[in-house]
Amino acid sequence: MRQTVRQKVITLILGLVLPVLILIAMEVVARFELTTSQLFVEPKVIFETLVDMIKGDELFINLGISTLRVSIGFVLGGAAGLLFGTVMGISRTFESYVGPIFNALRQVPVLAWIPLFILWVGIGEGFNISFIAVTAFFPMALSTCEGVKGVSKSEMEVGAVLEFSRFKQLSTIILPSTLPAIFTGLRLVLSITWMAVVGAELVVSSEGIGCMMYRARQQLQVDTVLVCILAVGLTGYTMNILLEQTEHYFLRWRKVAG
Amino acid sequence: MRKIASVFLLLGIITTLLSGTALSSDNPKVIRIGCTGSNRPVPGNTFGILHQLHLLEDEFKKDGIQVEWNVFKGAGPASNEALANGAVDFVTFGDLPSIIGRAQGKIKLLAIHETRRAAYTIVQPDSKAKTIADLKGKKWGVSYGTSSHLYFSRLVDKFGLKENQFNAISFSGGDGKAAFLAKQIDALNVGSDVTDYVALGQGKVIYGTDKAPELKGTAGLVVTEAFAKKYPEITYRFVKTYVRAAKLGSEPKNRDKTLALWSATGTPLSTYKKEYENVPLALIINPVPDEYTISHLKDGIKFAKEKGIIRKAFAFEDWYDGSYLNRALKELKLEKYWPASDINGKPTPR
Amino acid sequence: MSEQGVWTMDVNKEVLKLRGLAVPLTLLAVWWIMTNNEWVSAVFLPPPETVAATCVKLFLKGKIFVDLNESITKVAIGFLAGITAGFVLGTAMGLSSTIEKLFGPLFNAVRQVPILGWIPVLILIFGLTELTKIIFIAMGAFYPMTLNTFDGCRQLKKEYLEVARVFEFNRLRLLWRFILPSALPSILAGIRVSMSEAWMLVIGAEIFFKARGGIGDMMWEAKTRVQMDIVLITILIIGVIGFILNHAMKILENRLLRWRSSN
Repeated sequence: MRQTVRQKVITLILGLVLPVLILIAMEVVARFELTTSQLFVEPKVIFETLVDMIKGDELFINLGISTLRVSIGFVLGGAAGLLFGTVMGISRTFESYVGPIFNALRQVPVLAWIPLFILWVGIGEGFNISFIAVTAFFPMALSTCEGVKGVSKSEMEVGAVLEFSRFKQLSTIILPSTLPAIFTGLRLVLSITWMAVVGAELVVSSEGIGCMMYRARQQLQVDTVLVCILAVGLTGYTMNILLEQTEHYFLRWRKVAG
Repeated sequence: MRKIASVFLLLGIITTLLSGTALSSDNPKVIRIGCTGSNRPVPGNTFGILHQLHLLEDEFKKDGIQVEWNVFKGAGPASNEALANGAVDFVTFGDLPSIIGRAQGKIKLLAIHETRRAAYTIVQPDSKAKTIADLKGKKWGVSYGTSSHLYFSRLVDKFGLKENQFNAISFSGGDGKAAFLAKQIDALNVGSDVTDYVALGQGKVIYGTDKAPELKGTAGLVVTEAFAKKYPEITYRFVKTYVRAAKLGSEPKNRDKTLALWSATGTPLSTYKKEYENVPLALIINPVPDEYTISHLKDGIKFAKEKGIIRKAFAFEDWYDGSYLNRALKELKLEKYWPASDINGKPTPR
Repeated sequence: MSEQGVWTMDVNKEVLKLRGLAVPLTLLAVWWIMTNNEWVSAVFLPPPETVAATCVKLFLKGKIFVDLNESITKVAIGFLAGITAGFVLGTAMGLSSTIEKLFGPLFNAVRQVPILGWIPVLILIFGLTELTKIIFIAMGAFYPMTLNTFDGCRQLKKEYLEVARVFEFNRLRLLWRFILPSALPSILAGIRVSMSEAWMLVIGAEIFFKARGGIGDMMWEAKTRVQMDIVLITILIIGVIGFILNHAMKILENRLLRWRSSN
């Protein structure tokens, strides 16, 4: 249903109402000191800090480091999860051996792995990347496995009738049908790995956006903390959009071919 | 109905935001104190004396005012958060946290809590590092926002180096110690508990305030402006009791008792004895700001501003409110009791 | 021959159960061998017997139940607060496109930020109190609940509004009789996800807020003192409780859905 220009404008305005109200509320609270908290900063100060931090290279360097960590962990853990999930979905035997312990380990909340990894891997990039990779692994494996299992029997029968080799079955039937589930998994993994990187950096780190946030907190700089949050949110949002675009590209291709 | 729901939602959001902060409004029926405990949740120095001898409780019992002690695991920064939220009224903490606190909010310095606080940098026992420069690129544990952070910054500056030449890792509370003992980091800054590490062969000192006395720390007693304004008499009586406790601890004849009392913090008695060998305790817990402590704090303010730890510098005179202390000293006739030190820490002749 | 998507009945349940145990048992054996032959230092990985002994000791001492109680209480309160708020907003957004346009953009924007990122802000503004922790947990539970409820309500609006208009139902009746039951699967899924999220955030809150008490704090203290056995035990307990909570929600979900279809 195409929206008229008027409707689009109304949508835009409505969307802005709340953010503007919140900004106003913040300004009022900070200006008139309505709270006992001395740290309620005026939006103006936050904006100034934002500008300062963009001008200096602190923000981008740290953001870049965190994004890099997320990407590497994402790729490593995601690839492993993809592989593992595919095998688990295809082979009943494999699943019966590995399934229970996989499901058991999966129950452990992401953050609970931190102490273990710190004690085993030590402090440093190794910890960051391995931790993020592990958090990426489980959801990816699960989504892939469910996607593979969801391939319908009729599609499999086509492959059997045409006597496809196993590899051909995989590439032409299973993988394309699983793509939607894989992309759902990817989107989930993206948000989980961002949480993991912020968590890891809040715990122990020497640089990164989480580290910046942590030091700002220790030094009572609320405005810096808020700017960091904004930065993380925007980066996550951008990566999400990129992912969605990739998804549309792949799925459109599939619809045409299928 | 939708409109009503959304209005309620908005109200809910706003009231939650405000009530969370209002929850910590102060109550004249309780005096809330914040401090740091290192190993055990027991403060040291003058606060230790106050805490263990229940001097404050006795002072305010007749008014029915309770005294609440909060010992923060997170040291200086946690105290700052509590102050900023109005969750505590009086706090003692180190130089850098108090400077940060003042830069961000309305607190007043009432007296000094500790001077000549020692700090040392230790490395792993098998480390080949001999000087600070050798630690370049190595993992160095730093507790940001604490007195130890100031020591670290000044130390690096003293050698003409930059902080980003080291792999400085943020820690808080006891995490740094844990990481060092687990050999996950190469260097750590510690205080007088350095003897623990050395005695157990777990660390080697490569630098410390014994070689650079100008890096020694200072701690102070602060109060929120709101509390002082609302209850000036209570603030005064607090300071008076504080001074009395400081006098008790400074008396040479009480030396052994005081040190024994302080060992309740978890740092062993032997450590205190060694640290303060040949040093009169009066010098350490002298509550009166003198040239030595004032210049140290002023330097700290300037340094913190330079390094971007605080955004706005402030004048020491705006921060320190000596009216309560001076009045207490006069009333207790202790104006000349404590030795004042000059800018180099040497006692000025009276 | 791959066996995808087809349930081969000749592999009976007993064999499956045994297979499931094979890997864990092998790992256990490897663990035992590695530690008893000292291929790996005991600080790194204590032998299974030590861990088991410590586990028994902890349970006998009883303090662990106090910690568990603390964590579970926080989870319960935060979870309930979060899903209530989530339900209200999700329904409102699902039913009214005005509300959706009003709250949607802000909601989606805030959603991009990992909840952990809000910790410093929450602490600096609200302080290090129990309430702050509960707000934190509630925020975590709030999001999945809102999303799922919104999804569930949004799908049906058109069809049922038509029906309602024909029968001239009033809005409240519409909500109760048609929309909610149809959205129930999504709502229950939302509750389940919110539960896992809340449980994880309790642990996170205990680690990052650095106050005393709770099973997450116990785990962190053990890490600080390099007590690997306690770390492992706490991770196990945290996982088990997470599983129990998840399972309980699943059972609830199945019950309610069965009731719904019989209606």
